[in-house]
Amino acid sequence: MKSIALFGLTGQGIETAGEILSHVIQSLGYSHRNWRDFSTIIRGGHTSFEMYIADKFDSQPPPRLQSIDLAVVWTDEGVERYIPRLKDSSKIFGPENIKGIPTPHQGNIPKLGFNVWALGIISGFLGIPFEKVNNEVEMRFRKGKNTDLFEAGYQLGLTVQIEEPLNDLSIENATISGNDALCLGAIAGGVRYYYGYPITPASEILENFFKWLPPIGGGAFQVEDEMAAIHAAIGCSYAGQRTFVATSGPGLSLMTEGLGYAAATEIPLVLVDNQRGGPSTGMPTKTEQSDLLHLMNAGHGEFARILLTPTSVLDCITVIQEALNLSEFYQCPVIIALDLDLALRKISIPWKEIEDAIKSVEIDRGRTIMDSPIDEKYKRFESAGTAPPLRTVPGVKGGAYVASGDEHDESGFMEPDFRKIRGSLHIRRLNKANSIHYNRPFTRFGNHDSPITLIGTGAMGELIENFVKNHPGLYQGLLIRQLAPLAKEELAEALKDSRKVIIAEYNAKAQIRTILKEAIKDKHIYSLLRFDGEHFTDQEFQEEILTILDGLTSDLTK
Amino acid sequence: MVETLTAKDFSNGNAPTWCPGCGDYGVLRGIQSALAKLNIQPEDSVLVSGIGCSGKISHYFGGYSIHTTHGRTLPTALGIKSSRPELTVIAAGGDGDGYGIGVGHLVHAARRNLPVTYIVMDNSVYGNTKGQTSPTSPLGYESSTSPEGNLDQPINPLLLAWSSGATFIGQGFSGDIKHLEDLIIKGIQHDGFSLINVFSPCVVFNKAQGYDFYKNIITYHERPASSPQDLVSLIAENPFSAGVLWQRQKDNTRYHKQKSEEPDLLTYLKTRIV
Repeated sequence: MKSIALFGLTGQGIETAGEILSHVIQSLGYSHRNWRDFSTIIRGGHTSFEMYIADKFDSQPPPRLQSIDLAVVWTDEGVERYIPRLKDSSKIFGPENIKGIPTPHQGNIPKLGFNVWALGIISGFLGIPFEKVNNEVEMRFRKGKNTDLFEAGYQLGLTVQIEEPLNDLSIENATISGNDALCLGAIAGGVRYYYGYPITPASEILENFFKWLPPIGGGAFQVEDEMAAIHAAIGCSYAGQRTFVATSGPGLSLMTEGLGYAAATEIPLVLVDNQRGGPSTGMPTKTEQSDLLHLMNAGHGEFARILLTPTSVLDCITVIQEALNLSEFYQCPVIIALDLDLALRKISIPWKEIEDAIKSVEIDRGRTIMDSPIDEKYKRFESAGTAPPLRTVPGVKGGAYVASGDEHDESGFMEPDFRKIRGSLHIRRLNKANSIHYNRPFTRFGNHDSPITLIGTGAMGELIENFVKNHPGLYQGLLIRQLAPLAKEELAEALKDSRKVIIAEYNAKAQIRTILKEAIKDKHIYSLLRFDGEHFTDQEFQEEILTILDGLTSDLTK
Repeated sequence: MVETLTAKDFSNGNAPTWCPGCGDYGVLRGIQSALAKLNIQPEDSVLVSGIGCSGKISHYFGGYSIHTTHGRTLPTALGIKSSRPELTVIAAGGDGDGYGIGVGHLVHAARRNLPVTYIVMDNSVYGNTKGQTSPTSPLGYESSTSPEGNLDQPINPLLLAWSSGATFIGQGFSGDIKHLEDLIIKGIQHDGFSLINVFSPCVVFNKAQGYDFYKNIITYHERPASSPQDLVSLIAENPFSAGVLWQRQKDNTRYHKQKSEEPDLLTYLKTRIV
């Protein structure tokens, strides 16, 4: 794995240089991941760009790496930030007269042009053919001075070139975020209409659909608020078309009205929550996994729901398709909880992996009746044996019914005999998703017989996977994909040999631990919690886990 | 041989539980006969209703219907109509539903010229919760929530819809079903958003605005206003003007079904990201 860092002032084109580099690395076929530091305020201040590149033929990009192979920085702050993270502290480059940068690694470079020079250094260091990057530079910037700066940087980079320069792997790669993955999966799952209200970090989904749906006969709508978004989605679903809604915390609060309505009327609904730091407006650009307990219970009254959590960007493609199928079979809200880091994380991976994920699920319309005629005795809310009721959609002759949020009888009519209906229809509707047929409630890896299991989901997934992989044979990893209904038996089986479990999550109140309680009550449980909006690097995560394992835990993390 | 539809084909046989004399009976009847006259099949029509006495209308309708949460008829109708443009979609609710809790959605449905007929059963009172002041209650209106008389300027739904870009604005009276039926037919035929405000008396909680009140005050207009000035003066002269008061055509192709050959999905998705 290789890691590089670029650090400068906002306005110096750091991100453009990052984009060019990412594009080139993608064309060479290397899985990689970019990371941009948002921690500095948008106006003024510093910007940093980091890239972590997988070794040959890896289908997964590395997690956020702590240790950096090479850094190019513009200011003293950059030196302070990166020297401690450099494997070899001499591999730092920058302008003249910056303390901490070896003299041969300094260059007399202008403030505007630093990015092109830095791009040259990184390209030389990685051994990317000169022309390959220079062409991109000349496409984006004016020739002449920029070419000179790029070449000067490139020559400097060659002085510290890695032993095995990157070459063309001839693998077709694509760059996607978790949000992109959701959109790809949704379209594969039959979604052609989408209604959304802009909100960080879910806006990308709405923007994607404005571009992606019209060419295939569908459309996207920017509506006036989240109540409108969820009700439009419910209307679309009632009409027999597939859709979903996506938002984050503040929008979720408003959508809760529609969540209960969909549950009461048994209209299929898939809701995606890209969790960000809360409560209230909270930290809009920072990650958190702090809506989970809310999602388990959101809405007044009591109703059935399914709560799924993707464990990686690729998994988002699969989970949204599974959610669409589940919602049409069980006819209850299916909620997908992502976190900001997973939603926005852009990774470059082989297209083949994406294609396999898209193809992994078939569309299953469940209990939906799309064609006339239907049985004369048809009642929309009458269960058929143990299966959920059959659902007609407009256009089906003889299938007309009223969907009502008022409590209703099996035909859908309000003002029924409540004493009768609450013991029959309500109980059926309440318990219909107590156990669901879901093939993979978690992803399991590492040593299945280990006495120690690491548990997490979402953005934590890659860190757990990386840690378990780096300690072969020692630990088991479990990435949770289904939080409600809890897959108690499967979890008990997977944890049968584990005496200790460590649950890592991005919140302060150990929400995953609370939800899993029933399934892990006989274990020694340790929590690793983080809620400052930042995500762990591989090394930070490893240190935290090892600290827990050494029994050096403070009261706070116990 | 095509069978002729009647209003009865748009009834599901349920007996309404509205109070005797409620204006909403007339609105239900108007919707049913309008659809029958247009020869729209019950299964191809969807009635979207809100919360309140008026919201119960979907429980008596013989086509598909969806009784939504308070104020959300228009977003729900958007989801139905935009994804199934071949369906006839009617939204119906009360003045509290449409001009109170759901007023934001009215503005935006009008802006986007959503091809839905929106019928508001306006009785200027919250009847279902037993008589509180509503967004269209007149100044000075006395109720449990305005014991000293209403101080809040009533909403003018017609001008609000107009200023939001509505392309069809009509007003009717549930005591004149023939006129109302014609108005609904025109609203359904209009390719774009139509607001039809219907005076639908609550004979229990708003006795001051009963059938006689409306009969005496309503003036009928044969033709829509010729200009914005015309519309404003017509409404200013008499807020109880009835008929199609405003109609304009606007390009609405985005809601028309466009049959397109679906490409090979994997190839298509690949072109989005590679």
